[in-house]
Amino acid sequence: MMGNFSLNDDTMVQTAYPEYYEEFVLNKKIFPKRYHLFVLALGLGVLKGLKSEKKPYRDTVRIRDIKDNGRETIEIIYSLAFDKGGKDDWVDLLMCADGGLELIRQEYQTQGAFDLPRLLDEAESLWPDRAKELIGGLE
Amino acid sequence: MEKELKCRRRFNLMIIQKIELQNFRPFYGPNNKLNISPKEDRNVILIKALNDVGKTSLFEALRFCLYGTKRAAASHVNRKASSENDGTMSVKLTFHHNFDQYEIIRQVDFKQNTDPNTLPDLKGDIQLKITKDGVPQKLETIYEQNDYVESILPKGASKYFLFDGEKIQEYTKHPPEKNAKDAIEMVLGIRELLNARDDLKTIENDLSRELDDLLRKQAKDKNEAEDIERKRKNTEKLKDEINSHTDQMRHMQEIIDACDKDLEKFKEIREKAKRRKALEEQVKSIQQTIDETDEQLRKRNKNAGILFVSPLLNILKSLSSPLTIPKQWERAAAKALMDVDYCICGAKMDEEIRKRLAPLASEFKLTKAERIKEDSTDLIADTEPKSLRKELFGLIEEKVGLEEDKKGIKGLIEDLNKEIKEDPEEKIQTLEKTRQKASEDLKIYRTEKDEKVGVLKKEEAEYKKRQHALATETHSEEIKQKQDHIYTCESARKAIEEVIDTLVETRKNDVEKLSSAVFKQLTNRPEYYEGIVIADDYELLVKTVGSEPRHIWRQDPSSGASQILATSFIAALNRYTAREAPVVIDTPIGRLDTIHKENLINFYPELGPQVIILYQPEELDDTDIAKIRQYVAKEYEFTRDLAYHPDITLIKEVG
Repeated sequence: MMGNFSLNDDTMVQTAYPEYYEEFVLNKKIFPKRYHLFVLALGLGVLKGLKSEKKPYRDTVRIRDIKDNGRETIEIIYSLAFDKGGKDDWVDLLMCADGGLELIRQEYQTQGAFDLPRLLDEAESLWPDRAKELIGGLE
Repeated sequence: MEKELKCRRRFNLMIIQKIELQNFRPFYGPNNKLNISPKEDRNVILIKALNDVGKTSLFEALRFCLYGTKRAAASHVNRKASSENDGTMSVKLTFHHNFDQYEIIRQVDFKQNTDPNTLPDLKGDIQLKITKDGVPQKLETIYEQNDYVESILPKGASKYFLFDGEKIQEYTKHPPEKNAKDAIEMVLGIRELLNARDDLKTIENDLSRELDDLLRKQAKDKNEAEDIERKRKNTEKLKDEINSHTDQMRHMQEIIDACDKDLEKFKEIREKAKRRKALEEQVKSIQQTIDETDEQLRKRNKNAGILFVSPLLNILKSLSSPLTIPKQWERAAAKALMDVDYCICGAKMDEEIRKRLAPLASEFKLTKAERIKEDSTDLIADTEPKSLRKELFGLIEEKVGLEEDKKGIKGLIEDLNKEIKEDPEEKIQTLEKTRQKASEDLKIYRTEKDEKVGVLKKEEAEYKKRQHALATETHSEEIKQKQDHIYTCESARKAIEEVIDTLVETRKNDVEKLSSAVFKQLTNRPEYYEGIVIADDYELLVKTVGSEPRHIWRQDPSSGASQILATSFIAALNRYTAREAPVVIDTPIGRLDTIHKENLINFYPELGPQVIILYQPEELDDTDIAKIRQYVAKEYEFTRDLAYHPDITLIKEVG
């Protein structure tokens, strides 16, 4: 794919919750790679307008190493919701992803399982309104 | 023989005309009467009542009047009556028997008791008054009184006349109840003959002993007389040994039967254990598939992000076309023409034209929204989220199905766990050993008994021969008389034994045939069953088409089938009984299915000369009653006045 937006290859994905990544990816093996969880958490954070209060500090993965169309997804979301031309845009994106991660963790603890079908159903119903807000920001 | 039996049956016919209850259970005061004489061709009496209103109390009243004891009497006293005053509780039966008119009143006086939580004290003993054709019968002791009632309807036999439809399956128990054989022989009139045979044998032995005494005193050859007496003692000893062997054989047989029954049970458990193991394997295999599906799902989670944002991508993909923006289409066209050699009109794109289009083409630039739309379109084309989603949900559905299967099988395993409380193998091994040992012992006892019986026959023959010889040569009138007595007893006993043999065989065959016919008439599976077989101990065996007779418990019939089996047997017994009594059925239908119920309702009028049915409205409705209406002589209903006297049952004649 030839994207119109491109993040720097060396851009680093960071998080304030490295332990969550460890839990979901390494221990529980719910996601094959950390970036798979990151892309979902980012989508959820954007959908629900979440933002973690903590600043990301721990490196998770470099943009160049993100496969399975994750990079393209991140780039689209970045340009749609975060690219305001400011220096903190990328950090805002990371805090939003951590906000999504907090919610995923919280629901996992409450339900005792990762319920992807429910998340997808929720996405189907909530994205139209949220998309309008985001697209409105473009005009 | 049949003619004779019929004559005797008529002779022993018992018909209840009236029941009067005073302060018995829910029947308060003296005015509780039921006239229940059958009319010509109408032999059924119907008594309807809701549960807990008095059906079973009436049933109990009949038993109390005939066989009641003081022990249970206090619990029968009406609570309201005993709370008001001292009083009397009584049940009076008026009936015909042997062409005679009888009245039996059993009553007891009670003291006032205001404590609803305790039973009232009784004053004195139970009194039984019997009058025959208006003449009070002089019966001094309670034993004489009870014997008198027993001669009319023995208590042991009464359970074949007064029975509870819900408990009727008890008649098909294995082994039969201890006194079942006696009771049935009593009903069939065989018991009296067996008693007569045993009595004659005892008298014969006593006379023989007396003859030996006389021979010892009067015979010239004292040594021979003493020798004869020794022989008698030997034969008596042999008889004791044979009896002891018979007891042992019976005991061994009981052990074998009990082992068989338990083995059957534990082998069933073994089968269940096998089934459980197979189910556990199935669970393992399903779990393995679930784990594999989980792994597949985990791998699919790499698409979770793209799937989650795909609705957004689809919306972005459908953003308005950039060419709708004014001038944008011209710029786009100019930019496109810069990259080709010919225009779509066919003109060659030469340098001059390119030069003119260049400024316009350089103005072409995608807006941010346009770029996002383009990227989203590419990403959707690249990842195909629709098919990813379909694949994911397919796997999830498969997993849900597998989980449900696993849950269902685990439920079956749990049910089996409740039934398999212990390891059957060890029990089976022990039981098989015990059975083996009992079988060997039984064989030994049988062989020894047969040998002893052989010796006894010889010894008895020799004893009698020598006793006869010595008695004949003694020429004593007293001895001759004794010999004549012995001979008379012996002849009578042999005659009775012949009658018993014939009677047992014919009666049993008759009952067997008739109960089979009735059973096939009543069952809902007449094609499956061949009939009923009656074992020597009167246990009921059931025979299905093409199989050997089996114990009913082995056949594992439903409770409905058991009720039908028992009813068929009772019906046949009543047909051939030597004493015909009213049949009183409490809860006649029990838990029968529709077909059994209909068959049974139609059959009940055939049960005997007087059939009293105590039912609750849910068992028999108007349609059911209509089927036997033509046989109904009287109908009563028991009710309760809940507003004023919730504990008192009122008797109302209806119909």
